[in-house]
Amino acid sequence: MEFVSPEGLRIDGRRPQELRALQCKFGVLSCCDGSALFQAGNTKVFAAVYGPRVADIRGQALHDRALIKCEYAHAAFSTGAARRRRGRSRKSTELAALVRGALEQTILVELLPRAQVEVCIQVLFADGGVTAACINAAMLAVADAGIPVRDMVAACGAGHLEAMPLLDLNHTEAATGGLEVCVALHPALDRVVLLQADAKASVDTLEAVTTLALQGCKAAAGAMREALLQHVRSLAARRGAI
Amino acid sequence: MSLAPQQALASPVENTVVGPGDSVLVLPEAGQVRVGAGLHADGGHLRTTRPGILRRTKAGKLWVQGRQIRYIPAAGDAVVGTVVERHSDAYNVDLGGPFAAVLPALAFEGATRRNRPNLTPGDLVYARVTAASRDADPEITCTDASGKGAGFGPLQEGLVLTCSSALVRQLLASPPPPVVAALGAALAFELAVGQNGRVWVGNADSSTVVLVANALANSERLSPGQAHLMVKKLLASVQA
Amino acid sequence: MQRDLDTLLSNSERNFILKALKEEQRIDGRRPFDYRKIQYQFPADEDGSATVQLGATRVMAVVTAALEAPFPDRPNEGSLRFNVELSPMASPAFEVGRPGEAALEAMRLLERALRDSRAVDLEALCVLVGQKVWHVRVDVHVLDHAGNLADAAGLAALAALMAFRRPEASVAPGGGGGGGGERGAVTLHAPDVREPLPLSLHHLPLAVTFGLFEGGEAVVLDPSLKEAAAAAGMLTVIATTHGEVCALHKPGGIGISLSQTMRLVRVACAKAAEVAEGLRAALRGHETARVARRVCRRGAQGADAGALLDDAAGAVAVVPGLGDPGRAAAAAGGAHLDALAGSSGARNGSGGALEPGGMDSSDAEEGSRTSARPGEPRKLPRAGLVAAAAVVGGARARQGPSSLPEQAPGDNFEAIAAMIAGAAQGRPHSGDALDLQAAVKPKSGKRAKVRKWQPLGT
Repeated sequence: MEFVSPEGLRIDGRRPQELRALQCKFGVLSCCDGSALFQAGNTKVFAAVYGPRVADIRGQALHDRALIKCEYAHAAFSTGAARRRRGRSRKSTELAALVRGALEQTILVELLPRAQVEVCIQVLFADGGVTAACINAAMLAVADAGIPVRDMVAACGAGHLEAMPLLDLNHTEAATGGLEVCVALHPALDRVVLLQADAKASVDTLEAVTTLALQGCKAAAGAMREALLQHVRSLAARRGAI
Repeated sequence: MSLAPQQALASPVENTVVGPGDSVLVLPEAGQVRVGAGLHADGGHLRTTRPGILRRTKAGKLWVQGRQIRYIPAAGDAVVGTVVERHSDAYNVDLGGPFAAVLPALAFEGATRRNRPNLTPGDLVYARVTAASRDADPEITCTDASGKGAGFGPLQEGLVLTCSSALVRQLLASPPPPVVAALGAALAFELAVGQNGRVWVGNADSSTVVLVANALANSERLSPGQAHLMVKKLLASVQA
Repeated sequence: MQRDLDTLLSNSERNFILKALKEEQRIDGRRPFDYRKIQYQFPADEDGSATVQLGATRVMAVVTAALEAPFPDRPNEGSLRFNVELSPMASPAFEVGRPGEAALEAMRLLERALRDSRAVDLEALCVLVGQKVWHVRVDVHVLDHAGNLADAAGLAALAALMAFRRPEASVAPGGGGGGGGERGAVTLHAPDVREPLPLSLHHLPLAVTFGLFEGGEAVVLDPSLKEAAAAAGMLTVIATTHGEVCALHKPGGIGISLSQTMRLVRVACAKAAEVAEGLRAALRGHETARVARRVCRRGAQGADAGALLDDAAGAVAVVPGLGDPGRAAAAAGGAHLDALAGSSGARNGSGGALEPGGMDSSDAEEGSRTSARPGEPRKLPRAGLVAAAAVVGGARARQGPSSLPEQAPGDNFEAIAAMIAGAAQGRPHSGDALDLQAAVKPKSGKRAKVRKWQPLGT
């Protein structure tokens, strides 16, 4: 199966260094403090944030910083192949830990001692780039809730197929088992917060793919920021505040 | 107009929409910059911590006007809280923020050890925050600074709206927003606006309270003109 | 403890709600027996998924089916299973991992409504007695809990079951000669070869929930979150549209008189009929859109498609009938355009992902499709892909030999569907049954007939 045609098109018609179309929506759920829907191509992720509030279990609260908890739920139908997931699998715990790690660096936890911020993520449709989409959705929900953050965090994945670095792999491309890298970045501070790479590759390949992923992060960050500002602007305009 | 993410300015541009992590100001080597909510000094830059509109108060303090649902207690705020627990000499009151606040049992107008209000868990109170620090539970009181009631105290039957900080700011602004003015011109009711995002509507008959509460809840998403129209329609349907 | 705090109802609100109810006034302005606004969403490219919004409560249900061996005690029946997940994002009171009583209660209500009442015909799910039956599984996800989960979950599950289509399975006659032993091979037909079949439902059971207040006198239908917190008891009636009751559920709570109960049951039957009407109307809209999309799938090959798509604007809808190659390539081309049409609905600007996992997951028979599919993009220029994916105004027509009248702009999906049914008449194989299924079967050697109509999505 060829992943990149001679004209330079991938299976879904993108160019090798092209991101999928991103879509962000805010305030989609009514019960939580902040919520967002993030869609990259067909990958669709909901995130909801509760917090800052009192820790569920008093003993877990930290005296000098906030406790970030992350729950990840993977809808049973979301890979389209009716694979049944029984409750929490190890993969979902791992993903939740990754998102939590990215958020712990982003949220200004010293400003909220003894409080707890809980992030719930629900993947509705997984078409590759799930980790990146979860981090982005969580970031948007945190921004919607007004929780203080150091900077935005944007994540993107990239891979290497047929001797070419490809940005933002979808499910079919990722399923081949080639190199896949997921990067989360603070764009304004220009710091890499999360970096996961799988599969064996030479250092040069790794560097090329990671650089590509970083550029993808910056593009994603720009798009997310624009969507956020648009949302704030429309709310403020309706109130007559601007 | 909005700031590009990497653009750091010598002087900040007010009344612009900012995103989180935007650099607003390059901090000078020496001197003072007065900073309010939503801003954070980080490595030579002053950055925003949440999305919103950058404002400067009359006193020259920079802050980011954002919109959030959770309440972070600040001294001097008037809040609507629900009593959660009762101890021998204090009540624990939930403000919708990270921690429950402490309300001393004698913090009411004219209360003495023998004669003090008897609150049960589940009662609503309108109180004022006296002390709020990051590391300790906030303290509230049902009197004003001079010890008088001034409207604070337990609240009777009514509906409580949960809303964002932006709507609360709007309601507390003076002159009152068009929704409140229009409703108040036609109906008689009482409002207790808590800066913790809770608004109590009461002291009127049921249909009035329901109408006012729903009108206020919907008004956040409407422009002033639309809000006016909505109120007119609601009043017409009530009087019909 | 904090979870309870967030959903705590203060005394003054509780007293107010009760006082207002005495005057038949509800806190959101509804009348005592009014439902909140119900909205349905069916995703464009999936059969068997539905999202229902009841006021602010949002529930999503997805139906999947697998062909497996039946349970030993019921060799000629399929099975129906439910799973309700209360995601912690739905309410501060939900905890992840442990299902809790609320989830279990919702799941049992669904089972009683849809399975124990024999609403779904399980015997029709049998393909080969004793060997292969369809096991249907309904996953219900609660995304936002703003009161009355039971009704919303029931509606979502029912809508998803009614929208679900399972592939048609045929059994090859089990080889010659005598007796037992030789089983027929079961073939699953791909959706573009044989039209997928809906499940057969005998009746439509709907859950109607009442909140009961002090003394059992004040009753409200479809309690919101605050009303449910102030209520002293709940009664759920699962009724069909024909005035029959499938189940009653009153788990404790305040006692009410029998006459009051029967009165509520009658109200529930009337309300169930109303809600079912709304559900049927929504499904009709979804069905016509679905049919229109299936028409789109019969894509023309290579050059034809290129010529059709070179206009910057326009949905191309090509009626069945393909150029030369065999069925596999035809199916591939069809699937490709289907994906394009589907992705256009998903607003993918400069690049749409083809159907991911979905249709070509692990079935071996689809291997050939997957291999043929990447061939397609080569034949179409990139501009063509973009044009097809970005459905923007206007229409592109190639006036091929067409025995059917031109469509006026502004016609809708019903007209398209009617036309397809009529299109079968113009075919040489008019001996076939005049139904939609025949119309969308690809036949080799036919010229593509192109009609001009409004782009999808308007």
